[in-house]
Amino acid sequence: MPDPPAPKRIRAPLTPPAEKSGSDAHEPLFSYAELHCKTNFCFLEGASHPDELVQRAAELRYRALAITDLNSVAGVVRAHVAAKEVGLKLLIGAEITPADAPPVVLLAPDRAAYGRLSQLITRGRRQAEKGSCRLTFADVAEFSDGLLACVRLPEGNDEETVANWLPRYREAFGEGCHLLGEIFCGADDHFRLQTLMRVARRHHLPLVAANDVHYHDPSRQPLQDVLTAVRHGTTVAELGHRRFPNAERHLKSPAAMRRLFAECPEAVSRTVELADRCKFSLDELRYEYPEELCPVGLTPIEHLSRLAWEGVHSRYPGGIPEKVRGLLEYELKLVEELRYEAYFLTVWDLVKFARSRDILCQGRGSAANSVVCYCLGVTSVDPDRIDLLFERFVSKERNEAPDIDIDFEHERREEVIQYVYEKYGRDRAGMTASVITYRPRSAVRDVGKALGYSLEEVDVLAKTLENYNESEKLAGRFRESGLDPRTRRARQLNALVQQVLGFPRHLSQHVGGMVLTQKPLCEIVPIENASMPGRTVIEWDKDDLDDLGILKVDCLALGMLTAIRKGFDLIRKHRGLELSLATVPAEDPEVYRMVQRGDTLGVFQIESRAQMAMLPRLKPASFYDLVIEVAIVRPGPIQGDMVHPYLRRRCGEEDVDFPDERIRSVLEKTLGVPLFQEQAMKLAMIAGGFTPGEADQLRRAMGAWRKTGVMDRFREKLLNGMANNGYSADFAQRLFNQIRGFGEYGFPESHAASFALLVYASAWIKRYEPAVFAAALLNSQPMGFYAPAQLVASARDHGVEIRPVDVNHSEWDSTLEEDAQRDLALRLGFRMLKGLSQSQVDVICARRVDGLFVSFEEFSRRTRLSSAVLSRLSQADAFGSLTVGRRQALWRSLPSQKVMPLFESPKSKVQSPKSGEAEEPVVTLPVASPLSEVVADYRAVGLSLRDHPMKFLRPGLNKMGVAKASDLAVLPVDRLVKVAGLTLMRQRPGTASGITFVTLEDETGFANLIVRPEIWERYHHAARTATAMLAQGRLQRQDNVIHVLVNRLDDLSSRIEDLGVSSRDFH
Amino acid sequence: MDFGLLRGLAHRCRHYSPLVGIEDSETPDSLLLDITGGAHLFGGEARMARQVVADFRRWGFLARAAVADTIGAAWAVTRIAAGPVVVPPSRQSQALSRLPVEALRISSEVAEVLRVLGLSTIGHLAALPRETLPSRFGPEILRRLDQALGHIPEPIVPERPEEPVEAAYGCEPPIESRAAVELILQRLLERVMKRLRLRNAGILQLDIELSVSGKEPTRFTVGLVRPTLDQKRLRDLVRLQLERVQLKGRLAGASLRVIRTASLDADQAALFETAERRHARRDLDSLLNRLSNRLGPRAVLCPRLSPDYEPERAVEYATLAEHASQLKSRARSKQSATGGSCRLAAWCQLKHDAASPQQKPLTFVRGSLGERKSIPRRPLRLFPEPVPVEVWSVVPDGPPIRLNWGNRDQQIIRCEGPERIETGWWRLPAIHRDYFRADTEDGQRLWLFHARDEGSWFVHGEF
Repeated sequence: MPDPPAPKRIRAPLTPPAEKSGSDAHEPLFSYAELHCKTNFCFLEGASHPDELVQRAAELRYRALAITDLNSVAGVVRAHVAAKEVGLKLLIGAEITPADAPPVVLLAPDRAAYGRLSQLITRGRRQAEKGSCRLTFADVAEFSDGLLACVRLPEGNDEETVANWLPRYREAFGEGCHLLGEIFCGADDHFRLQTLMRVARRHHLPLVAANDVHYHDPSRQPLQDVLTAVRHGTTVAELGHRRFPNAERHLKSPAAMRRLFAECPEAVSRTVELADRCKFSLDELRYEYPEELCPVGLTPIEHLSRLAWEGVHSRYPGGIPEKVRGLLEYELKLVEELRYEAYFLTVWDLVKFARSRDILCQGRGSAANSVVCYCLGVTSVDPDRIDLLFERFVSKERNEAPDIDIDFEHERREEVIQYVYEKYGRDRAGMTASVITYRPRSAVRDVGKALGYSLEEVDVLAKTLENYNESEKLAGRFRESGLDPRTRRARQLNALVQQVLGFPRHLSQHVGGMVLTQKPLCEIVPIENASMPGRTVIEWDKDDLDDLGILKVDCLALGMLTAIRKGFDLIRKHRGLELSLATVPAEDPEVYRMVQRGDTLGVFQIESRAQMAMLPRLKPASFYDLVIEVAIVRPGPIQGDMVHPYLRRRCGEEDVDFPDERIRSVLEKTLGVPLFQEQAMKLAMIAGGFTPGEADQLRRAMGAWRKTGVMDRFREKLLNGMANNGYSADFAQRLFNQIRGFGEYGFPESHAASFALLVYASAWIKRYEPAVFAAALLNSQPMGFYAPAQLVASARDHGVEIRPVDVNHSEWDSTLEEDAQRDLALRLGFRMLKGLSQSQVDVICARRVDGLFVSFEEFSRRTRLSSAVLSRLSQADAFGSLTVGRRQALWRSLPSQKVMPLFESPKSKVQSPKSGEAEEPVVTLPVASPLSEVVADYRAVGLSLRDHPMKFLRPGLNKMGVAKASDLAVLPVDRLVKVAGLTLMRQRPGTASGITFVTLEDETGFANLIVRPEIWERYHHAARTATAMLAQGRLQRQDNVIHVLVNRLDDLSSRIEDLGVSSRDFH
Repeated sequence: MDFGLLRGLAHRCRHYSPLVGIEDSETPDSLLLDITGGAHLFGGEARMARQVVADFRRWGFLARAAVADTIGAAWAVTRIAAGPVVVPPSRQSQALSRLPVEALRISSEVAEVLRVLGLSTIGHLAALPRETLPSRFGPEILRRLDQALGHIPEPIVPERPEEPVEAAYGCEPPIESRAAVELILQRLLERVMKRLRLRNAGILQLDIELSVSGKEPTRFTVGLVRPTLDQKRLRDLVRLQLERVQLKGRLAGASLRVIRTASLDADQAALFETAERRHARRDLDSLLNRLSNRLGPRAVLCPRLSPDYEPERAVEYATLAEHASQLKSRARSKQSATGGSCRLAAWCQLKHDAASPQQKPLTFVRGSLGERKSIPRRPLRLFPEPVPVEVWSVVPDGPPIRLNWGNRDQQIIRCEGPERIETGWWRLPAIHRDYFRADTEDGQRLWLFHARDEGSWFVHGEF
């Protein structure tokens, strides 16, 4: 399952400053370029987003703006994109802080110098812990070639430091070395400036003016103070002199800078000279793919074409369909034109490696569903099998990079990543960063603490906020938390939280994005250590890479792939059938019949409760129906109110109508309801008159955290565009709502198609080989929605015999045992036991090769396992085949010791304790009751093959009038009912306005509860922690979907446990 | 449960029994009372148990009580039974046999294993051969079992309150002579000091009460900067206070109670501290002690720099106690490696106003002021309130050229600035000021500022 997209700040499109009117009246009298400016990628220091700084610099008509974050270039891409929009010249640099020398601002005048800057930062960051940087002057000098340097003299430094370091800086950087002059309206500005001028003269360094910018506007001073307080782990009031005395570190107008440096005007004009010397733009970072993928003598495109044509022949041994041939030719031409061939080869190489290691993998994403990828074996979705997707490929005019994510088996993805590191080396491969930003909760916590709220107050307040989209509600939450929202501090907290939302907090590692290059990667972007050992991360995230056209491959981990591979292995072993994702018998009506029944526990994606409830209504009967099924039961379509219209149309209860042909072409196959991201974009283009570029922006806005106002901008544009194209305002508004509904969770069709294939494959295994299916899922835990107990129960319902864990029969994994009729029984594996390691199990299996164990003592002697391991096995009742019950086995597992006589002979001392066993009195333990056996099973294995625990409570429950789960289907609707069961899961989808869905299980089946927030709060403890509960509420039943709308919850956990020990009689 | 609270409750229980203890456990929450031979005073064991529970309820606690021969048995019964239970003498084995094994004061891990084995009650456990138990469940289990059954003794460790250090003297007949009063107090002092010496504790605060027959007693407090047991110094301080006290009649009795003490070890000499310096430090301490005992603690203050950009808040006054603790913590955190050397009083201003000593603090400057560099140029005299003035400048917000202060027009002949201070947004009033150092034609050097919010000008100090 893809991760929910990280909420990200989406900025409104920037507007270039008004064009100069005829005269040059707007040209500022003085020219100025700011050379020293920190963005909020100086975490907890800079208090403005890169684009805010760029926008303000453009408004002030700066000649240029340098982005010089501390030992980092993490924020430059965002600034670069913004600068291009407003037409501002951007200088790329960083402030470097050597441990032994004064700090220096380095600027990159050209590509080569930028490469060295990036290498320098890489050096410093690789030498230090994650998130920090350690450099010395020697490092700086080593990479100084071609870089421009502006040395900072921190205030209060004595002359000695100056004398020591300035000549050395000058020696390292030559003519490129400058002295930074910065004054901030302090007490002795005049004196300080004169000192700087004198020092500059003495060391023959030109003085350049700068302002150590921390924010674009002085109004950010409070926020900057708050960030400083967070950095120091204190409150603003306690900061004292660690904050700045005034708000001068903002972008000042060129005239103001000129006034400030009236004594030394050349320092201001030199900034422009320096800026003019910088010719480097991030656009020059041409990306070069690894070349070794291509055999000598072939161009990449020749190699790719050859592979693709070879592939297409093996995919279609009976002849290539005309449609496929045409598409392949077209796609190859496009790949060559856009020069993406190396990218496809890179992906192909990864897939080839995975295949060579028998790691199941599948690509997805817009480019993955191309014929090329099908032929290269990257995907298994036959392009001929489903109707053509919309933008099924990279589109030329959108200049959008192809996007391929590859899912690997979750247990083995690390092998692929290590392969990449080995093949390309750490210099040329790195993981993409992901920028962790402030969300409402973390923002309230940090800002609240900085403003002096107590930890408890901040905690209570933060807990009232869900993590997404709730910041607007903050003001209202104060009262709930017992705080007065009208106080000054509360108002400040509210305002500052709004400002800090979306601020980067630190860099983290993206789940799987990898960047590979021909030349050292560290010349393109600095690389730093990740928190995970053996991993390195670049400083840019996936959007940054997108913006620069640098391609990355997402290597993701998917549990279901592990399960399917294990399923295929078991089928090969027991049925002699060789299957792969592409060769699972397609479009089998039996499989669809099972899916339509909602009998999908364990099946990929469509196993959730909501999905199961939808299946009998949607009645998927073809592969494309599965694609829709995957996409429709998601928060996006639900919020956009698309599910019900689709259902009604699907059932024929509502006519499908299209305003016109153009829209029909987009929406026909989803019955007029936009379900996919691609459709939303296409609609915006066709009906709203969006350009492809704007549609792409819309896509990003949809895929990211909604910042108030951004979507509204698109709204206006879309509504106007649609009005111009003659669509009714009502239709336009509805369409907009639907598009906005995609919000955070919009799902692209290309992903849905790849997922649908896994849905089908897993459903096929479940339908035809339920024992294999259960074993494969059990052996891939943890994954999926359901616990082993439910998977096993479901397999039993499908007629699979389940056999318990046993020292004579089980292996680490769950296995299948064939009987005479070649029926498969499922033998549970040791991996289901708690606290047992695989090496201990290996010992058991190795000893068993010499013959089965015959008694407990013999087992213990042959395996020499420790008492603790024996106890675990005993508690799981794994000695069944030795006819030793759980209690006896456990008793014998515990160390016994003969009471030694006071004076013992040395000989008896060395006797093994086991020899004393025979002399120990025989102990009779109480016979276990059935219920206590079940409870012990649950404790040790997480499930019981004996009986359902609820069955033992049933007599008591009957007296209380509690219904069985199976009764809910027949009891009268809208009446109060009581149900009880083990708590299987609690889900609170973001779309359900605080409603929690709880599933209970009793011996007859599942009961689905709907718990409204107020009930949840009232029975908070039971609701959140009970392992078993009794619910009372109103029964609802509609279209075979049964719910209990809960109005009371009781905790049954302790009753179950008490029952478990109620056997108290000796027999 | 909070151990201090439990201990407090133990003391309150002393009227049920002379021997009250707290259970020996990592998370104690039980009180143990030895009621041997005392229950009949409360009407028997059962009534006594009910009485205890009722008393606890009155104090705001929900308690359970049980009476048994052994601690273990009583403990076990309270875990299970809600109401007060009396286990008849020698019947603990019957009472315990049906109770769950958890009631034995054993670890939850062991109890868990016992439960899986089906050995869920103490009776099950007691029925097993003893020798099979320790190897399987650890030695603890037999000890607990035997303690509960009374096979081995388990003493109650009594909880005794720490007694206050005090001394009292009754005068019969009442005396009038001041010298005698002094002598009495000196004797009392000697008595408490003798006891404190055993604990190696020094006195930080003393409360003295002098009772006069038929009148309200007179009380006063002696406070010290550092803990001491120096008899002479303490006597001097007591005498100083006594001088100010007017007895309303003859002295009938005196009592002296030590309120605060501290370990004497804390008073260490600094490394390389010369004897001379050390004496100087001691002398200063005793001077400070005397002054603040004479004038009151808020009368002897020490100014110190406060890291705040707002000039009004850049200096604050600390009492000696605050100052001492700050110095100590700073020395400990090694931050003041540079400012560690204590300079003696650089400057001392004595303005004694007997009527209201609080209003005019006597001020000592002590210690170095830290790094001189970090202190921006500030006037020697800072006015408590900025004084509004009229100022003319050439450009709006620009430097001043002329001002009118106290009906005098003055030309400003030289001016430095602005120094911009913008702070206090989180506490209000936020200030936005541009400060200028201005030389007037009269030769005055003034600290002016322009309040950027209101646009008005003020004089804030004189250099």
